[in-house]
Amino acid sequence: MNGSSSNDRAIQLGHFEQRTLLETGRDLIESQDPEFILNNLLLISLGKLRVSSACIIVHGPGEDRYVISKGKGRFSHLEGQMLNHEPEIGSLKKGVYHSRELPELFEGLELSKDAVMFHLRTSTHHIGFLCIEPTFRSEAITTQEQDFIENLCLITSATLSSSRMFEELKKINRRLDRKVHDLDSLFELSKDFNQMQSIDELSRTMKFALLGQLFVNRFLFLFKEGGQVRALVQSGLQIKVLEHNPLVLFDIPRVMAVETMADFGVDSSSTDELEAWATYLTQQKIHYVLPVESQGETLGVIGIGNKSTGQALAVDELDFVLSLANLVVLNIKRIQLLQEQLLNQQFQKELELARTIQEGLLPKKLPFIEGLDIAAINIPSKQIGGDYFDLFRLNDGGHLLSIADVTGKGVPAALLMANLQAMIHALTLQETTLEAATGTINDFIYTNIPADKFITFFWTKIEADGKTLKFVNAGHDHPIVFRRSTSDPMNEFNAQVEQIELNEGGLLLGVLPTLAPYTVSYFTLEANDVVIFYTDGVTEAMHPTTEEEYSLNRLKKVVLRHLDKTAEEIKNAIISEVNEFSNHMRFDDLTLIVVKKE
Amino acid sequence: MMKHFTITKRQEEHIAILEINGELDAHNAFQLEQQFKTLIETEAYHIIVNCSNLEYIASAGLGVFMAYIEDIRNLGGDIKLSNMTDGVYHVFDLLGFPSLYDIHRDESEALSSFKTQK
Repeated sequence: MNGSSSNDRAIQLGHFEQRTLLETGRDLIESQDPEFILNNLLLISLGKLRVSSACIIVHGPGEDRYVISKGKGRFSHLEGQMLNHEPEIGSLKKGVYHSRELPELFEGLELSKDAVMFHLRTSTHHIGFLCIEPTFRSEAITTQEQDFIENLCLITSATLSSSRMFEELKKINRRLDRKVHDLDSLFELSKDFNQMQSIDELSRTMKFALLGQLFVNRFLFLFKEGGQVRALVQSGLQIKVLEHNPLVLFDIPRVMAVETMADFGVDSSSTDELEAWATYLTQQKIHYVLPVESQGETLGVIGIGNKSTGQALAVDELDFVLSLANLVVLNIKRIQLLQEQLLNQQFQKELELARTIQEGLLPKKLPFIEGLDIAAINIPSKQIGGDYFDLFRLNDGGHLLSIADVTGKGVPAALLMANLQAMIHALTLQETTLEAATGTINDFIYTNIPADKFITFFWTKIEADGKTLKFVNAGHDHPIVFRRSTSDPMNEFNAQVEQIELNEGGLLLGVLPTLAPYTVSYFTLEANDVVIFYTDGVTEAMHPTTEEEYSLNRLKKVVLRHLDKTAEEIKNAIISEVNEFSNHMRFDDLTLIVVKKE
Repeated sequence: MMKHFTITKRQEEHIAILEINGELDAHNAFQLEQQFKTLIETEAYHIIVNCSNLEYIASAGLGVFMAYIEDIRNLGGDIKLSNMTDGVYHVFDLLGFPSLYDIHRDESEALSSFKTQK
């Protein structure tokens, strides 16, 4: 079959070699798969040199060893094995090496003395060697064959180094992909979190995100609120997490390994506590602690272990955990704010209700009483206190005037006031005295309200004659009668007006059962007498800057200045002065009744 | 683009016959490698590769033959080649394969060569 002359044969072989190099060049350009490139180099070398065993060893950059990347024949079982040898890369200048030149590698691969190593290199990098074991052929490798393989090694090396670069790029791309994926999931999670209404829901989602995204099943999320620390999320840990003082963990300045965190104790006791934590967390296979900040304050601390595969978390992954925790903290704050708002709304509704109750209890219109000029006002504060006053006509032609201050604010005070109002109206229908009725009310209130609640109460029956007052004062601010004295007109201004306090009666309501009966007192009004009934909302109105109280003294002075005016004018004078004094700030209800005897 | 290459496997008594069809080059050499590996694993060491439909063989394809021949001979078997077209034989010949490989004109010749060895 072979009829060619030896000269023709050499030419044909040369053509074949060129063709092989060209094809290989094209194949290499098309492929970026190092596996393929190495395999191709080996197979062509085997075919060309007619040997059956060869391998490629690749130097790990920065490492003192080679890995047997690919092997054929007797090397096929050695793929992946390491070969410890640190080459002097600078001195590797040749394309081909024989046994005496690289004895360590030849021994390591158990190569025969006839074996040849072809250098795989680019102008800047040492990649490794193609090792040929020519045991199968009898004759030595010719120079022509050697040149061919050298050429093959050169073009393969070039591609290999670019494909290694490509692999590197792929790795970076994978990392970027991972980042994008992480960001996507954070974005998704943040949308989910925004919909959530409870902290439990947040915690649960965080737990699943950590499990699902990072395959971490050991973690702990502590959250600080008002100096208290709660373990919001906890997975894979033995309980009793908060056995040690958790507050020290919130002083850790940044993400760090559990073993090193004791270095950040601010003093010896916190160092001890951090050491105790480090021991505990290490036992629980928690390896990292991450402080979670919000507006410059550490609000959360995460402890996290390895992945369930045993792999430690990478920096990127710790970043993900931190971002996730930040989202959770933000949303906890959002939910808390929302809850506060709801609570506030609830409270506002309650106050509306209390105001409605209170308004309903006060007289819509004052009755006309022959011979008396009467003005009254009740100004509820924003929070609604428990001021109450009433004035209504009795069956015998007399009138009953009451003024009271119930402790507390809001609905409870309004309800208690409603009780008082109901009792006052009920008792007046019965044949009973003012003092006995006061005792009955006291006993009722005493048995029905908590110990810290009480009522200051004053009531008086204005007899049908329009001047006789029959009254009981149960601990209320003393109503004051201002009476212009005619007996000693030569005295100074103050002395000209007598001030009589209506103070007798007994204990305030609701403090003790009625042991001693309340006493009733009488007072007879004279012409031009002015009586001021008030609650502490008047005298305790506060100056906005000095925090001084308006005081009884100022009240008396304003009354004295306007003593000759009508009840309405006196009332208005007092209110405008109080308003001016307190700059219209009101912390308590204010009730004022002015009665002037004509 | 992947060139057309297929392998058909037959069995003649204890002898495995691989018919390789199309163009054997760097891209599909792994297919033939895989076949040889499988045969060695199943202890079928007597192999004939029928090249009647092999249109072209590249260096990498030749390498596959070299990679397994020694193993198989050490295991007491052989790879024999048969039915090569002139063009294909020329390549084998150029590279000096006839001195290493048992190459036959046709399959029956290869078969009987196995039988006489036995």
